Order: sequence, then structure tokens, then C-alpha cells
Amino acid sequence: MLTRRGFLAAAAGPLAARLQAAELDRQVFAEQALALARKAGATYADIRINRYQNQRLLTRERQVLRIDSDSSYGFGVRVLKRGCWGFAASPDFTENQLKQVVGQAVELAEANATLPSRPVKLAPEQPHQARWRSAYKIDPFQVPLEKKLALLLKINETALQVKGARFVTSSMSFVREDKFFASTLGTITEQEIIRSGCSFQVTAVDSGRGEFQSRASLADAVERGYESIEEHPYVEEAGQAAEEAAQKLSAKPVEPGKYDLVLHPSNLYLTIHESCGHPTELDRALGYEANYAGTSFLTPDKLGRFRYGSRWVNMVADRTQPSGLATVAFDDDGVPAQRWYLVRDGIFVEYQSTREQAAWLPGVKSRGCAHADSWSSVVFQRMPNVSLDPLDSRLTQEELIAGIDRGILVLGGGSYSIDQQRFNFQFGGQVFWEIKNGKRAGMLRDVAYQARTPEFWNSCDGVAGKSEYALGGTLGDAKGEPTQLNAVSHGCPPARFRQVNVINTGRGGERRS
Amino acid sequence: MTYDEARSLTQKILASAKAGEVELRLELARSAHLRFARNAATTSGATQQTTASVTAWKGKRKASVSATIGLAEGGAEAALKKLVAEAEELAALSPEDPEYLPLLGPQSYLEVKAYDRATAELPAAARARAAGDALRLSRRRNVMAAGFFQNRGVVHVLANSAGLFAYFPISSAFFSVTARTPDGAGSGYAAVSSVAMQNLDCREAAAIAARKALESRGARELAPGDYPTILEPQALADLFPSFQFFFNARSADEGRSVFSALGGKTRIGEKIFDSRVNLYTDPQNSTVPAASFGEDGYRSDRAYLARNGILENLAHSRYWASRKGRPPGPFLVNLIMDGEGKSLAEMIASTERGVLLTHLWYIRAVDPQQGLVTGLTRDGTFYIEGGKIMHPIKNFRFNESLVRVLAQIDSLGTPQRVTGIERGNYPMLLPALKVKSFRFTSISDAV
Repeated sequence: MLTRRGFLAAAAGPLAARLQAAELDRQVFAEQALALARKAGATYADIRINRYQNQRLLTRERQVLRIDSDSSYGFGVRVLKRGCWGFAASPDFTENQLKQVVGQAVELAEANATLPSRPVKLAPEQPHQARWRSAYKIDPFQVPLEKKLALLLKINETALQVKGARFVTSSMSFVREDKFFASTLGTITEQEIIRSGCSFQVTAVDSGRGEFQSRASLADAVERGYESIEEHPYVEEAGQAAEEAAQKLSAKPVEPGKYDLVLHPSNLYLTIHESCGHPTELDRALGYEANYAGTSFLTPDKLGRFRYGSRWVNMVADRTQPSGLATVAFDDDGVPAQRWYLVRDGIFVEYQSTREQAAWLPGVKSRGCAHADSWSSVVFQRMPNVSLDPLDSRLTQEELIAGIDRGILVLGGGSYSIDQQRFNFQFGGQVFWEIKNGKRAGMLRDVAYQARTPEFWNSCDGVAGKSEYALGGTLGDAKGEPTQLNAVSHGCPPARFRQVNVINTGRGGERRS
Repeated sequence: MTYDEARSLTQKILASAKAGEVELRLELARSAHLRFARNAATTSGATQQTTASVTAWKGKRKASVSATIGLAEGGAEAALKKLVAEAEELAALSPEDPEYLPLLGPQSYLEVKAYDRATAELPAAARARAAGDALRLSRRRNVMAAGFFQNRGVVHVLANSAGLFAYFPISSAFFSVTARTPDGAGSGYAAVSSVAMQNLDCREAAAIAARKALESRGARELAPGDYPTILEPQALADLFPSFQFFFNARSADEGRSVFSALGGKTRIGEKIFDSRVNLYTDPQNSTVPAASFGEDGYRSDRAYLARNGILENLAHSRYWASRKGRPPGPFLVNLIMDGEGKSLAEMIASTERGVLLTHLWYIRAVDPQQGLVTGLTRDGTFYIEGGKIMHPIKNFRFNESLVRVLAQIDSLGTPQRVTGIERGNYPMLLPALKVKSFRFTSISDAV
């Protein structure tokens, strides 16, 4: 644990001499930055000194396509002056550059103050000093490259052994973030985050008919170490995926119409992301992202009274969730990670928020959702892990299926698209099983479901229990201008939805609905 | 970094490589932006960042490393040498690459003028002035504006141990604005971009967005279905990047594309589109100048994907080109479609019953076999009857294919520089396009 006193003591002495040390003393550098900002008239300032490390491996069939390793290290200073934000960043840790960066951030704030503006007010927050590390057992950057490539090539080989499987790609991604944050509030945090992911896609081809079908892995990245990859049966799944891709070639094209759906977590997570994660962002709801990501149908007048979904629908936001990609100890405002409900018993009850946003609506406090994807990016509100909470449900996927006369079980994420207010969405999948009279029947193909968010979630009449709960997620959710990426997970058990519109996306039937 | 400085630095680094082949890329970026929303400035930022990427080969074994590096106090040289060593170390651990090709030697490149220093180094006050003009206009028109202004200057450098050296500086200024009526019933979008800030009229863009917002209030429902449809250049720009992936030669040869033919063949040489479709890339186009080099430093040139409606070529990587005995490319450094000079007013006047699209959103591939994508309209969709815009209509979801769009052309406008909403700064020069039929599958309540 760092202390404020220790921080200030470390900051004593000439900066130039300290910067000459081989390893940067981040606390010293930070204190100098904050002192410069205060001297320039900033009423608040913070500095992030972050190092990012990524490794990406890509293979296809029996060859390695890419072994990429990249890293990024620098600092960004954010100042608040005359009620306006300014931000500047640099990878050069020199005294001159620090002065220049702070000066530039102040200059930007002053330029903004000449424009019509709404003075920024930050919600009160306690100073915190802490060190935190995300939970992992095996550091993926210490795992030999040969071992990782061997697994990817084994995945490919297993898939290619299946008749009809012609192409396969597989990849691994690993991320390490080493983040340092200090603010004029007295907060100093250090966080280390590790994320790991492995995926593949098999394509089966029917040369005679000139058709192909693909099936991708159902597993997603998580905030864990290499143990997460060792625990998932990728090789076995590759064999099954190849069988299913080949089976899809001769599967029955779906007849468009209304179906009851059971959505597996590997499919439903993305629906949660798009139809609940994004519309409950307060900046979107108030028009701050109108120019790109869009706004939200969940406007403030709906808070606390709008029936978003049925009583089965409980959406929890959680930056403390084990393995969740957006899990941290503190956000990029220095606010502790929290867990809260966005939708409770089907009613929309709260937004995602930051310190700045707390002033935008009465009754809002920061929920610790401030984030920037790099030391060189501006901090703004990003999505926490948002999940469908099964509460005490004891239902199972098989029981959900048993309650359906005519329906479809959907697994895996496919093509996805949703409008800029998060009403109208269309999602595909990887594997589709027809449900007839309460039982899984044959495989279907060319399925996409299209719905309006509130109707969809109000049609939910069953959520399975915790034993079938699983996490899906993405390392690259885009928002903001310039566009920034966010890693975020969504957990859920299988869930059932009644009478959802299904379209056929295949040849000849693609646009019938 | 000047041409000479870049050349000297890269030569020094390449000379330090131990063995095998090395390729070095530098991207020296200077960028600043200002955002605004609800008719007020929100956030702004400025950064200078150099990204270095090194690919090293040990025989046919290959690996790449990249890092942001500091340029101050001679830091670049040490950082780059470290990256070369790391890449060499990783390459030794990699299996042999069956698609290995020797590095390209020195190339001759087209001269492309794409850098305006004043734009790359635009001061904060200039961004504030441009945004201020837009904000004041929006307040006067009683709309709520949200927008983004960014200026960038990037120097791209590519050098390799076979003697190739490429240097390409490019600048850009981009301004976009969405105006919404305070009651949330109307929304309009406009964007302008150029290599040089002096070509941008941000106030005019704000005026267009405000007009569309006001005109799109009170949208009525139109039944989903097939309609003659006019896509403004912005809408076409939003749509085209999602089509671009279909123009990959390898996917077509492997039977995985809308341009695949039976028997492992492709549809190159077939007349697939309307005869007026000329789709090409041209780094020297003065409105959308783009990189003078493509993959591995290969020279980029004016080259057609489709000419007179015939699919003339698909994008071949160097490796795939060598397999197929064709020249590499085209490298799509920009995308240009010829027009025929019809005005938007003429297109509307000639429409008995149809739809006008101004901006599209969240477009994703649904089926590469059909070139099928789905997406939505946004920020102003209008119903046309009897040659006139009758009223705004609610937004649609569409499921439509590249081939159908380019095969059913009614008329084409005059190409304009446009940027697709979901694809960053990829420069395109596209006309308005009227198609005989565009397929809308459901209504969206989003405004």
C-alpha cells in the first residue's frame, strides 16, 4: 500500500536527476505533473502512466500466419481549468516533454473555455491509495510461444480431420495493462490487469454446390491468465465445430416466422451488450455520443418506472465480477469498482456513470465507469461488465426447451447489428437447433432473429440457474471519437424468449421475414 | 521527421540487424481533437506518438513486434534496435512460413502530395473557432449539436534490408456534426474532410445537419419492402467499407465469396454490375490523395476493381498473386467511384415513389456468399412521391447485397470526398447513387 506521505517524500529532489534513473519513478513524475498543473491554474488534474503489452498469434490450417507482439508506454495528463477539460499525452518521459504536455493540456482547456460550455463539476470522492492485481494463475506472457502455437495447430488439425472441413483459422490474444493513476485529490493507484483469449473458426465447403458454412468457437476472452485456455476443451470443441459446420451445409433452411427462442450464453451475451449495456450509458442517454455511437431509448424520464423487461430480467453492472474483462479495483477517475443493478425485476432503475456525470442528473453518483483505452486517450464513460442475473432460479436449459412447441436453440455469436438508440436489433448465431414439441430436433441454418429491445426482454419467460451461467465478452467494444476500445464481459445462463421474429438470411430466402 | 532523417535512422537500424531479413515501419503521428455535445464543448486532446513495427525473418521463420517509442534525446535509435533484437528472437521460435516471399527491393513510387503542415499543426484556438461557429449556428437554429473535429499529420516510413525505402506524409482535417431537435424527434448529420483545413466549411456542415434535423421531424411509418432508393454520398460511404472485404481475391478463389464461381474459379471478367460502374483506387487523386505504397512497400497505382460493370480484378496479396501468376494488388489505399453528374434534385424529380437515405449505421456482413449485409438508416430518411420529398419516414433496417446495389443503378451523381462513419479516415470519393430497388426489412423506432 502506498501512502500519501510516502508519495510526497519520494517526490522530493530534482526531477531531472530522478528521470535519469533507468526505471522511471512514476510517483515522482506524477507529483511533478500535478504540481505543474496546479501552478498553471488547474482546479483538478490527474495523470495516468500506463504500459500496455499485447501478444497475438494467428494460424490457418497447418501454418502460422502471424506472431505479433506490441507494447505501448507513455503518460497522459488531464486538467480541469475554468470548468473545461484539457488533455495531452506523450511517450517521452523527459522534464521538457512533461512541461510541454501539461502546458498543452492547459491550453486546450482554455481554448474550450472560449466556447459555449457547461462547467464540469466532479462528484465528491475520497482519496485512495492502493495496489491491485487481477486474478490469474499463469502469466500468459511467460508461457512458451511453442506451447501456444502447438495448441493452435492442434485445434486446426483436429478440425481438418473432419470430412468436409476445408479451412480453419485460430488465434490467441493476451493483454497486460500496467496502470498508474494519481490525482490532485491525493489518489494514487497501481493496477495490473491480465486478459487472455483463444478462438477459432472452421469452414466446411460443398464444392459441388459452391456453398460453405462456418462455425466459430463458443469461448470468449476473460480477465484471467493462461489457465483459462488450458481449462477450456478447445481441441475437442474444434472437432465438434467442424462436424457442425459440415452438418450446416445440409441443414434445413429456417422458415421465416415467429419462434420461441432459447438463447445460450454464447449467443445471449452479445444481445445483452448491445440492448442493455449500451442504452444504460448515461452519456448516450443525454446526447453526448449522438454524433457517432448514438443516443438511447432509455431517456432519464424512464428511470425507475420503465418496464424494460419481464420480472425475469435483472441486469447487474459489476466491475468486481471474477473473470470479467471490465473488472478493476479503481476506474480512471480513481473511483472504486462497484456492483449495482441497471434493471431490477424488469424495471430500468439506474445508469452507468462517472464522477463528471454525477452532476448531470439528480440522484446520480459515480459508479466508477471512467475509462481510457490508452495513456494517450481521453477518459470517458465506458461499459462495466453487464450481466443477466439468474438470482435464485433453478430452471435448466433442458427445462426451458421442454416448454416450447416450436422454437430454436441458438448458440454462438453471429452477425450483429443494432440501431443508434438501441431499439431494433438483428443477431445471427453459430449453431441453430430446431425445437419441436419440447425436444431438440434437427439442425437449422440461415437463422437471424430481429426484435425491438423492450418487446424482446418482456418476452423473456424463463432464465436458467447459476449452474449454467457463463461469461461471454469482447476485447474490442468501440465508442467515442476518436474511437476507443473497451474490454467487457457479459454473463448469463440460457434464457427463453417467446414469439421472436426470425428471418432467413440464406440464398433466395435472405430477405423474407 | 524529414525524408533524410527517416532514411538515415532506418539505415542505421537495419545495419544493426544480426542476420536474415528485416522490415521496419514507422508511423509518426501528431493528432489533436475537440468534441462537443448538447451545444457545448466537452473534451479535447492532443498527442504526438510514434509507433514502430519490426518484422524479422530467420530464413523462412517470421515474427513482428511493435511499440510506441519516444523520439526525444536520441531515444528512437535505442528503442528500434531493441525491437529488432526482440523480433529476431521471436522469429527463431516460429515455424517456417510456407507463404514466405523474399523482401521487395527498391521501388519507384508515384509522387503524391497529401501533406499540409498548417493542418497537421493546427492550434487549439483554430479548432475552437471552427467548433464555435458550428455551435453558435446550432443554437440559433434551435437544435442540439454534438460533433467532432480532428486534425492529424502522419508520416509513414517503410524500409527493409533489401534496400526498399518508402516515405509518405499525409495530413487530414475532419469535422462531423449531428444536430438533434430538442424534442428528440429529428436528427441530421453532416461531415466534411480534406487534406487541408482551409478546404473545410464547418459552419456549412452544421447548417446542413440542422436543416436535416428540422426536416426529419414527424417521421411516419412506411411499410418495409423494396423501393427505388437514393443514397446520398455519405450513405454510400457508410455502406461501401462493409463491401470492401468481399473484394478479396483469396476468399474468392477459395470459394468463400460472392465473387467465387464453381470449380475453384472466380467471377473476374464477368459483367456483374451496371455498365456505369467504375470502381477503382488512385493514390494521386487530388481530392483523396492516399499512400503511394501498399503491402510490403509495393507501389500503389491507379487500378480498377470494376470497369464498365465488369469485375476487372480482386485484391491480391503478394503471396496470393505469386500463386496465381498475377501482379500484386490492387492495394485499396482509397476508393473512387465515377459518377455521371446527376444532381440530387434531378434524382428526386425522376422518382415516382421511393426513399432518400442520408446516413447509415452499424452495417455488418450477414452472408459473404451473397455479399449480403445488414444495417440501419439514421439521421434523416425521407419518402419521395411524384418527384418530390413528401415527408420524413421512420428509420429502416435493411438486408441488402453488394451485387444487387451495383447491378440496379438508375443514376449517379457527382463524386464527393466522404468518410464512412464506422471506418475512420479511409478516404473515398463517391457519388450519390439512385438504385432501382433497395430492400428494407423492418422499421426502427430510433431517431
